Amino acid sequence: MKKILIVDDEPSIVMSLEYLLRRKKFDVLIARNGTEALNILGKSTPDLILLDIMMPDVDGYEICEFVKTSPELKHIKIIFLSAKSKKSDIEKGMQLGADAYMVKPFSTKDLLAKVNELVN
Amino acid sequence: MNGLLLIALSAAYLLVLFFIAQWAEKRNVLSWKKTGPFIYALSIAVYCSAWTFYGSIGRAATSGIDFIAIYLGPVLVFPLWWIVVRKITRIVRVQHITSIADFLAARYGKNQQIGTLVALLTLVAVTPYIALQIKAIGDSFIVVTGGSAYSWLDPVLVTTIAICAFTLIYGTRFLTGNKPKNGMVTAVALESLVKLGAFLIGGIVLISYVFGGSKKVFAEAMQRPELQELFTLNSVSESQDWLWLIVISGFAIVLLPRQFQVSAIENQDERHLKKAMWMVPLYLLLINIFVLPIALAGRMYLPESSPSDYYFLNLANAYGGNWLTALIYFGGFSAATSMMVVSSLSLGNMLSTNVVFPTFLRPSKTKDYSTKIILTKRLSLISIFILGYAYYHYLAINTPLVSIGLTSFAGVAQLAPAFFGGLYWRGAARKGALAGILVGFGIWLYALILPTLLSNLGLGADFLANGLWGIKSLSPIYFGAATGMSAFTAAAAISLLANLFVFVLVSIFTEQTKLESNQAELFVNIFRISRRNYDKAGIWQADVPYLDIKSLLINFLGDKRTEEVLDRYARINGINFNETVQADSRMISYAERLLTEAIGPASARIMIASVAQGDEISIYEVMDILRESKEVLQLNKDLRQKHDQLARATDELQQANTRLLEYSDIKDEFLYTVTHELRTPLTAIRAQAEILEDDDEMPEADRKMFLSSIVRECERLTKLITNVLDLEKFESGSQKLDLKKESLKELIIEAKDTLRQLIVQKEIELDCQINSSLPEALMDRDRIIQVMVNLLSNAIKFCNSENGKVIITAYVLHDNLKVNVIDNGSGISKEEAKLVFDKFYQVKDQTRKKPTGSGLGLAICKNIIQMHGGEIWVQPEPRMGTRFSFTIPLVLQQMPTEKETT
Repeated sequence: MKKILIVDDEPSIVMSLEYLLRRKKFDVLIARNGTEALNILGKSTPDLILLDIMMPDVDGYEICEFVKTSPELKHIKIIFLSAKSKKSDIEKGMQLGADAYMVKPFSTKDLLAKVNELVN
Repeated sequence: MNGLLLIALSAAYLLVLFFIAQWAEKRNVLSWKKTGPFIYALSIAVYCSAWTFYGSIGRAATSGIDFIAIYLGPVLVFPLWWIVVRKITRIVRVQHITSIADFLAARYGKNQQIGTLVALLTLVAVTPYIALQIKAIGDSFIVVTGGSAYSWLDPVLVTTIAICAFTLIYGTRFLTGNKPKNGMVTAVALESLVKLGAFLIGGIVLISYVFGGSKKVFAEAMQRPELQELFTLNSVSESQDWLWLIVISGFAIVLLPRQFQVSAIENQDERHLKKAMWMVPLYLLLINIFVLPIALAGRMYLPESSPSDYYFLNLANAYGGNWLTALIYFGGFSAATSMMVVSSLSLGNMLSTNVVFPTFLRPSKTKDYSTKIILTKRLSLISIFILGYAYYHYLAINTPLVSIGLTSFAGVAQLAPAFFGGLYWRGAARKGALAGILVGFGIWLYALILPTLLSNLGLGADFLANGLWGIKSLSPIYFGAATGMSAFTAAAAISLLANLFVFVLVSIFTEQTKLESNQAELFVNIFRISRRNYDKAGIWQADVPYLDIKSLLINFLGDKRTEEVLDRYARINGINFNETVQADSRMISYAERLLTEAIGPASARIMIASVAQGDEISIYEVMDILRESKEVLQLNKDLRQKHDQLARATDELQQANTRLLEYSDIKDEFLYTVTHELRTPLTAIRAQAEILEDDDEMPEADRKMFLSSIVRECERLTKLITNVLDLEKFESGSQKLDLKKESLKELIIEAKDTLRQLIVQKEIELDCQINSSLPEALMDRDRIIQVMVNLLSNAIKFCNSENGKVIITAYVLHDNLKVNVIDNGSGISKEEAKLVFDKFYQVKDQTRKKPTGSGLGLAICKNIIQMHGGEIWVQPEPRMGTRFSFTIPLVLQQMPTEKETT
């Protein structure tokens, strides 16, 4: 079973994504902010991270950079899910090594398709 | 006190001074904006030498209040400081002058005779004055140690040598070149503080504590007839004495070599002069406050044999104890050392540039003088100390301090006619200056120095009584005796008047040389000359091989400095020097000024003349240059005005542009944040709706959960949109308030009721302390309720989750209604307090769950309160959490029409 980590500080979004992915038989881990995400990454290694950018403590860019620059973690796929819609925001995310960037609000079908493509 | 201990303390004092000077040198303290002017003003207080410190009391004890005249003179000069001394400093800077002898020599056609005469005159006049300082150190040492001098060690000689060493290190380092002597000037300024401090502390302790206050001292003195006369001016002759003392001391504060050094040559910034204009007179006042009481106390409480010059020390010794005595000793010591340092430095410099160099320097293309120049200056400086010490040792034993000091003053005053005449009267001529100074100086020597010398040597009683060749009227003391003035006043007055008379008369009847009238023009009209044109006033013909000039400079300045100055000149003027270049007249003038710093104006001129042809340009040409200067200055002024106008316009445009850009940035940022805030609930709604759409067999409970989440997110969207529109109305100014007389208490209660359910649900203790007699005020009912609801719901949201408590207080303060809403949450940091009223700011605290809110509530509150003419702010509440406060004026003075954009 593939393991997916959801990192977002918005409870209603976390709830929806968790429900969606569990039903598709993914193992789901949840972090409600950047610090929690880093803690989880210290203990377990997911196959993919769904990553929000604007969070109060450690932002998504920093987590992405951390993952993609550490030898043990850099194989983890990362999809940014962010309300930041500027071209420069997207470019920055991709430069840090993210595998995809989806602007909120996104279609759940597109998201699932992207997740499947990346983990298989 | 033990003699060795005192010597050790003195050495320590000099060492401290030394290190402070070194520090000041490194940090370039004179250029500091705040301290620079103070240091300048304090350094001028070098005027107060040991003579002030000890001698004034001695004079007051014997002749009463006339010691004040010596300070009245300078005090009367200081209102003119900005006019006179600024002119002098400007000339000093432009002409690269390093002493008063240079100044006069340069003014009167760069004439060597004048320079030498002035240098010798000041040397003769000031050497006794230096001896006076040495004598004061020696005498005071004996008073403090009880005369137990060691036969194998002359403390006075040791101290003199130490001070000489100090001066050598901090003065001659800069002998070639007009570099600021930061270290020396700072040390002198510091010594001014030390002597003032010692005098005041000593005075306060002795007069106020030991003798019961100055009132008591004066009252006691009035009982004694022999002391009464000290308070009064009792005859015409005495007022004559006063007048002349004031005149002479007024000249002295400008013309004494040490004063000229600190006030003109070491001046770094003309603006410093302004500070000196009030600080120095204040200083002089302070240091004289206790002179009379101490003099009287000395007369009354010390034995009659006690020397009046040392009343202060002896009183301290008898009534104040060892440490007070030492303190006063150091006050006097600092007064003496600072005077010796500056005087010897300026005299040594004068001696070498105006006496030694003209005699021994000969133009030579091969001889390297640069090291010899510095050596000569060092030796001159040392010889000043030797002369001073010798005078002290052989001649000054029994002369009171004041009479030595006054004699020096009168000698230096002989420069006044030539100096001030040269500064303001274009017609003042070299021969007039020369004749005037010679006559005045001669009379001074004959009437003041000769009698002192004779009586010290025990000779010439007959000559003094009967005059030269038996003609009574030729006796040095005849004039005083005949007019009833004191011998000193008579000699000073007659020498000065004769000097002035001869100076004016000869000046009128002699013709100036061309160089002389050029220099006169340049001195008198210094403020009309622009720097650029100044170089043109050089008298040198162009087209001298550059290499000749260079080798000349190397001879006097050495290789390193020559390279330095020529590089600078080349850089500033964009010239590329090579071996074939011909130096133009500007370059030659530049070289001449550099040499002037090193060897004085007259010698410099001779040296330059050895390589360049003097081109005696006429006075008309100089006038042309001046006129051109004037035109250039006027043109500059016009241009500057135009330029200023343009700069102002550009500035305004730039500001407007920046404001526009900022405004547009703020708008963009706002839109971006709004869309971001809209996207978040939309994401949740869309995801949940899609889940519901896809899954028909979803359990009922899950379906309910998603549906209610969708409803919540929709509410959030609605609230956000309402708030954005609200804020937009406020910020665009289209929002109007509906102001009516309202009771604040009612509004608060209504807001509280709106939130009642939430309060009960979260089990929050709400404490309302509202004064029941609160007056009504003009308010918009709904808006104030909105503010209260917002603040209260924030407080509820952020207060302690276990036993939450919220306090509301409302009262009248300074014509305002004031409301506080206090929670017991985890508080707010200073940085956050500044930001919470910003749009979309949400408190960042990871230990709390993310608060749900639009991030606009407080921004709207701020707008509402500001429109009411009040203020709103937040601060941490001690021992609680956070306190939000706002005020509403009871009387609305003025409706703010425009809102701030931030």
